[in-house]
Amino acid sequence: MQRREAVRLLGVIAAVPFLPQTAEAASELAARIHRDVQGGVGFRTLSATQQRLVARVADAIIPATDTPGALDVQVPQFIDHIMTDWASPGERTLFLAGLAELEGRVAGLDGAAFLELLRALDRDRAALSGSAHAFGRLKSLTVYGYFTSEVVQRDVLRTQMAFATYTPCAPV
Amino acid sequence: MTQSTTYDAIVVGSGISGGWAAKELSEKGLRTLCLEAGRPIDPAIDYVEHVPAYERPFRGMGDRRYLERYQSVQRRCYACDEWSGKFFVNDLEHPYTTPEDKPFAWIRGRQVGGRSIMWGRQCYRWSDLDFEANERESVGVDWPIRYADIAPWYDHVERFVGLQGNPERLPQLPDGQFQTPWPLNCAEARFRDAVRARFGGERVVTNARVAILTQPLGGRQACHLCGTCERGCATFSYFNSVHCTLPAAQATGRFTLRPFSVVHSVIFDPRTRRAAGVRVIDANTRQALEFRARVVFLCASTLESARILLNSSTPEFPNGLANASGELGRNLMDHIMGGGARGVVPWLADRKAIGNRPGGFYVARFRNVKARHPDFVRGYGFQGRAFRDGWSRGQSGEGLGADFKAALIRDPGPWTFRVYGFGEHLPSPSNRITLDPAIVDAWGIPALRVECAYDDNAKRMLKDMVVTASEMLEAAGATEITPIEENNPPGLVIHEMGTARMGRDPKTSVLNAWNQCWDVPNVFVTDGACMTSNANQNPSITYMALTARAADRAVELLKRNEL
Repeated sequence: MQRREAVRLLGVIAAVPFLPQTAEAASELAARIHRDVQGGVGFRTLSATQQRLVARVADAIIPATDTPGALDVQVPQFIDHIMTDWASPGERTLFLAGLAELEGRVAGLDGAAFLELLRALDRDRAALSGSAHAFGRLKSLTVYGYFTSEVVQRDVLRTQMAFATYTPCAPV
Repeated sequence: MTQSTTYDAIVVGSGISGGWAAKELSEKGLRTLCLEAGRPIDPAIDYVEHVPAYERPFRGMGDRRYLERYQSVQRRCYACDEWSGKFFVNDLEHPYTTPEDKPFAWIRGRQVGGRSIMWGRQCYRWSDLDFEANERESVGVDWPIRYADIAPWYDHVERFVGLQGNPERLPQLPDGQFQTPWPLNCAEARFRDAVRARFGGERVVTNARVAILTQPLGGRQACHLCGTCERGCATFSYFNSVHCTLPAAQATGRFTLRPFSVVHSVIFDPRTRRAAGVRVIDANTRQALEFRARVVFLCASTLESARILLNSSTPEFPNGLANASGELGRNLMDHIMGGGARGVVPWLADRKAIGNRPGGFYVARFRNVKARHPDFVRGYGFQGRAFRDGWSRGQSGEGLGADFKAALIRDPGPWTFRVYGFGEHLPSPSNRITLDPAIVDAWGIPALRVECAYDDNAKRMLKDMVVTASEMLEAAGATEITPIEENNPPGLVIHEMGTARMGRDPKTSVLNAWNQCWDVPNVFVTDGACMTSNANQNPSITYMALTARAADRAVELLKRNEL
């Protein structure tokens, strides 16, 4: 405790906040704070139709079982957030074009045929464009968004942050 | 208008070397001022190692637009992520130039603690195989010291740092003052044994020697195995300046730390032919300040320390202070990294490790230790680990639906090995830094032009890393062995060294055997700039030992009125 106090003292020697050095840096900082506060709620890139398709695909990749599924942890919202605030304009265009193609291909398919199509696309998920490309992005982001969500980290994986000791060899 | 304040010693920089200079000089009785260009760090606020991904706006994927705009160089470092990115500089404020065909990735941290906050924590002693190499091969200049000169100082710093490691009695990788290391995980232990069975004593796999406590030390707690040291540490278990050396300096009552103090140049007094102090630009107010002292320690990092000297020209030293030799700025080196292999093993699928151990295994240098290799001189070591990908393999692997999901939750995936080499880069006068006449940084200080490339010796070594790493994985029964052969620019290893080398002759070196400028004896340079060659071991522990040794010398000379 004492040590932490001493370290804290080091920090207040110059209590001036760290100022952005340029006007551009200042406005970027403001934009980042705004984004942090927003937290990615709601949809900003995907249209209502695209949202339904993304949700259907995400649900097929990680359905709800005895544990929550992709839709329970807002994976479509996460995908929209990444496509809005993270992806480059080129990547977003490519993804949306692939999604449009996928939309055409799934129209009218029943559950089994839909799954069959997704399995075919899955084998081609590294494709650089088209519906297989859109599926590859959806899959990667669905898995990532699902497993990094609070509910899955806490209740499904029961991720532990700290350990009293290192165990080099334990049964899986 | 300028202000002036006088101290016994000024330390420029508060990173791994500056922290040690601050501690040793203050503890030995000097009123010491440490000037840090960046902001203060408060562990209670700035350490974020326990913040989960879901509390970050991009879940750990990073604020890509910010990174691309403001950290286009820094983002190439693995540690510049959505947590630790704040410990890396804004590249727009810190410009530098390179020739188009010679990229150099200059990775920097400007804050109290410098890069010691997010360093890799691997510590390996050098041996006489390294200190004698230049002389033996007539490369560069001879080191003015040998292992016996530095060994007691390795002992001294390691006892305070808290270093874990397994004694191996290897002449090329001397043992240190070790805490008991964490064991290798069961896959790594099997790999170690398989390599021993195939290669005898030639290739030795040992526990990574890392500056992370496995037992409490000096008020710091044993590591709690969260695994992301580069984000800080609530229990102060890994070594850095912020929670180790600077508090020790503070405890003497003789220490002053001044953040936001960008050192512009060293003030030279032509009458005494000594440094009188340093010129500083306050990072926030842009006010020019001067601080005076009897001795100056430059610990601003390899390139920054040399930059300060280059920017301190006087009529006596028109090409940079303490540069009568013309060697200042030359002989820049960085390890060559990125040769190795990955592999998957079919065994021990029913076993896992528990705890996020930061550090894996190390393969000590085995090339040019006994037999001479036909393709290259010097050698390399490997850092590696065995791990299981867990759910993340589902991002690119095949499958979907309930079974796919259940497998990602239940099954950690196969053991995967990554064996990754770090090799020596020979000193060359043409690998150098100069002041760029056209560009200044955000504080108006001339920026650097960096010209550095790997030589053919290093490139041949990288190819050999691929072969030998694959051989070892094959010996362990790995399948799907994939070569790693990266083409990284120098700088990215963040082991940049040289530019103010130590030597035996003032005509061919900048510093003497005590890290003291030949030309201006009360200026010491003890960070990576001083290095005469770069061996293949991670260098920080050597900077620490050289700094403590130089501080001891400086105090002795001050007492004898010889500075």
